[in-house]
Amino acid sequence: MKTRLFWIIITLLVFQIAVAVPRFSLENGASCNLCHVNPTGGGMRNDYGTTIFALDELPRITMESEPWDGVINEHLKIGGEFRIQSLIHENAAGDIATPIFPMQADLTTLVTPTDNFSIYGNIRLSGGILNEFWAMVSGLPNESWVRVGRILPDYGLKLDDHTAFIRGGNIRQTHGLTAEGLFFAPTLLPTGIEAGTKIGNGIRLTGGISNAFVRGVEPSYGFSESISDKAFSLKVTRLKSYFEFVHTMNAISLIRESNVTVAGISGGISLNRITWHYEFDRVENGIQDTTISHAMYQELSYSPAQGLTLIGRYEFFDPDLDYASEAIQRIVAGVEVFPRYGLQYIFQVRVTRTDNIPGGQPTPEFLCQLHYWF
Amino acid sequence: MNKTGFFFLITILVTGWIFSSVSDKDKPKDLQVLSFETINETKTYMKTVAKGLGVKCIFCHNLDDFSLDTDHKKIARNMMKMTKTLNEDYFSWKDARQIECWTCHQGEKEPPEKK
Repeated sequence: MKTRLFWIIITLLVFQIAVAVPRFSLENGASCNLCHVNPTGGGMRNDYGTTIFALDELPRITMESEPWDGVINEHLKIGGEFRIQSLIHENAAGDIATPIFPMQADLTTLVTPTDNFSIYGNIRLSGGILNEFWAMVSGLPNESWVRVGRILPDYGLKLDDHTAFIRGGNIRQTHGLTAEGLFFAPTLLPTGIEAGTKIGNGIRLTGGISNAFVRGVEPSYGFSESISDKAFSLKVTRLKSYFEFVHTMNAISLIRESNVTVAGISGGISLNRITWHYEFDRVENGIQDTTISHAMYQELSYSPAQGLTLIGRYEFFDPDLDYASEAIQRIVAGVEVFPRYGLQYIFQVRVTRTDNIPGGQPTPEFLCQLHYWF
Repeated sequence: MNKTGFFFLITILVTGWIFSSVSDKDKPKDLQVLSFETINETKTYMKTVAKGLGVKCIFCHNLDDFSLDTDHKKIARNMMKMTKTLNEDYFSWKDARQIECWTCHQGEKEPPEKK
């Protein structure tokens, strides 16, 4: 009965909402590849993302001259992404801990031997791991593309916060649950093939097959997997704009891996300076057999001025609805500042509440992050 | 020449042709008033237009396909024709300062009215 009700609600939502991502895509009514080399978003920015959006439309202080955008020549471009973070919190001993750590240090390379063929590689400097790389053929009819390599399957909102429950969740600072998030962690991405196309007015379709990753990243590169063990993913996204300042995005995402089914809806609406985006996910057998997990993400943001955004967020994750009780909620209030080109400051207060977990409720955490990219 | 040499030569020729091909990626699409040859030239000009009107690209363009026409884009074309005509016919003396979007719009979507 609950399963049927869930699918009825999803179906109603899909057909009621006028027919992708993080905030910037929604605010501009455009897909991720407006600014990113990666057609499903994230990572290295393209020419528009670097010399127009990041230079003129994002920061508080704009520059007259264009800084170096990483282009070596017309066939080679490099980029980088660096994050330093501090998470002030109360540790298990009851002391205030203030770890400061390099959350991300990536170097990215894009080689384009021809207009429609590109090779992308991302190296995590800590460890020297080539965690993401792919070769892509683009420029096919209907803006289609195909790529092979180590790819993060296109699913839901590709947030830049991997601790969001709809992404990887709490990896280190856990609160005692069997799992505290989905499985899109920023580690080694599964190997596979992915394709995308544009169909109709504002509708994009992406789909892929990769080695299994939901229950553990690609054990043995999938040598022991049959075709039915692979992860099949599908996402349909519709972007629609109204008047000049109302932009909507709605998407359905699916992953099927062996007996694991992951289904979700995501999207949002942007009205001038206010943006709301959401994601609801249901996972069957994701953690272990017979488990049903739910994840939810809601974010409301307001940009009073260019380069300044106030954010309120609510997240929920229940790893197994069949247990007596075990769920985690997180409320986040924060500020994001883009003072100048290539720079971002994030300040957040994060309050976590767990459902019937021994040890009492966690104390609030204070997150400070410096993000630099080129 | 044996088979290996033949295929090697073909590979070299094809590779050379690929790398020497004129890149359509650099050429702007559907320019009806402007006479720029490359996207970079067009982009530099577009930035002056955006600053002149105090708007972002999305004000005139469909960001999924910049070449598509929109109402604001059609208005902008007329404005560009007018600017070009004024500069050529009326501000044509030696060292004359050329007018641009900013001259009238002053960073606003519509020229400010002053009495």
